[in-house]
Amino acid sequence: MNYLLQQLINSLGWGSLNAMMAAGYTLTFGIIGLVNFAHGEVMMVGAMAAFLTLVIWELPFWVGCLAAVVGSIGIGLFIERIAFRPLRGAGMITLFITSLAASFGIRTLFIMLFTDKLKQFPVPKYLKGVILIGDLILFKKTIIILLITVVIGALLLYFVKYTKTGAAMRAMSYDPEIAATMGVNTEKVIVITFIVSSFLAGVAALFWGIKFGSAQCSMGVLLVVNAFIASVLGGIGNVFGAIIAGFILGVGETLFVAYLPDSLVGLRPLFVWIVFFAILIFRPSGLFRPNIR
Amino acid sequence: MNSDPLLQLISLASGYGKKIIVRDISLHVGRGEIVTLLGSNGVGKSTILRTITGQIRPQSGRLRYIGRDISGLPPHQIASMGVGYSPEGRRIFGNLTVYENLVVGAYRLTSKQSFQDNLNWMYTLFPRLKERNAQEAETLSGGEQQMLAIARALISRPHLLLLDEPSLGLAPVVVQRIAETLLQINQTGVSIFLVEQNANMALEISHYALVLDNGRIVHEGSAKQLLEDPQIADIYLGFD
Repeated sequence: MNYLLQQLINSLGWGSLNAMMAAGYTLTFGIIGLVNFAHGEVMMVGAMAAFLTLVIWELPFWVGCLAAVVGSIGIGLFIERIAFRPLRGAGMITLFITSLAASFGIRTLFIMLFTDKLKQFPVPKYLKGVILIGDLILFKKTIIILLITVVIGALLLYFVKYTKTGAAMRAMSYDPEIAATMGVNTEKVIVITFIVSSFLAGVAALFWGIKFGSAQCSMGVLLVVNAFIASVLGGIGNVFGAIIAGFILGVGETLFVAYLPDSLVGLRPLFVWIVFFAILIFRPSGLFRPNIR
Repeated sequence: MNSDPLLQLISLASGYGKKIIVRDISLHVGRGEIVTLLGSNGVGKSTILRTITGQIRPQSGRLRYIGRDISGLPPHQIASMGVGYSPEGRRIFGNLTVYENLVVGAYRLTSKQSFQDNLNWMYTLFPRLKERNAQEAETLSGGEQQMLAIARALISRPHLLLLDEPSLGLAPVVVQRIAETLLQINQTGVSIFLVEQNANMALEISHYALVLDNGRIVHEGSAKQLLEDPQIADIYLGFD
């Protein structure tokens, strides 16, 4: 029982990471039908920006956090402008292939510049250490990550559900042509969506750095698949669904690995795919209502 | 009092890509007028409306709204000039509640007070929508969705209301209700440009009407004239 509880606690950091990535992913998935393979690189660039400011330039931690978010938003807007805007109205497959190209391109460029070696991510003292609850170990960094996730998640949900722009985003996910005839500046709303989505990836980058104490140029590849699956699981375009699904995947994956016999360790990546095919078979529209037609 | 027509189409031609669907379309909607465009399926009525909203760019001719040339302007800009649109097939935002649909409809408004005032006006016009305001729009009946589409088009207090086949697929009693509501709306000064297959309802409430066939205007006159014209009655008033 204790083992289960401990694993559950351990999983909250990875769950938060997946939730952040899924939330950002589902926003652009819903609004322009974009299966964004480059979302992992948006996170990675944020992590690299933080690495640069914290390790190379040795600036204070809060500057590193700012750099991560600015870096992610910067690359996100760049990709929107260069890769996706020229293909406005193109089908899902075309957009996906473009995102693949953006993903490879950015990853290759950064590996050329920084190599794919693990980069150290300095964690400030106040985030180090643990709290003991009986037999259970709770890392301080996990608490902080979880707290930030809850706060950002709440703000994001408020934004999507209760603001005019949030309503416009959801209307565009359903029927962009008619939304425009209501007075919604669709191009502007798309840009705002990418900013929010990239911001969330930047926060995820910080979570990664804090949790693992490191970053590397290929870090985006694993998470983007999880983000995609979580978006589908949560209902495409549904931010609340994505957050819940992100936690389900993160926690589930950690528990799966924890209970997997050592001899079957190679089966680790299987979990998310089992979940994916399960949703497609039993509930393809996702756990919650998708925001697309 | 400004006597310039609110909406003016002069020899307008429009279509999709190289395919011209409507040609030589000249018509105008005066301030406070209800004008109807009649025609059967596929003759190009929706194409004309979608050109006015900015969804389609006209191939040639002139498109003027409040005296200003609006051809080539993006739809959101035309909407912000006070053009309300109820599309063919309703096309309400099914994933949003009734209330949220109206929030999007009122997008061009900047004052919370005017949104509230207009919302109250919509709920007075359409009490059924008030009852269902927290309901997901997809679950509304056909008639309720049509009312929502009209309310969504009206809530920003446009000068011009464009309606694409509001009676399609609705029971006669509901169509009657919609016709009465359109008259009420018109009384408040909103000009209406109505595209319909159901000539009866449309001619009953309009001042002026035109008939479209094969992409061209083949007949026009005051609504009274068209109602009394045996040719029109034969072809278009057969539907009920």
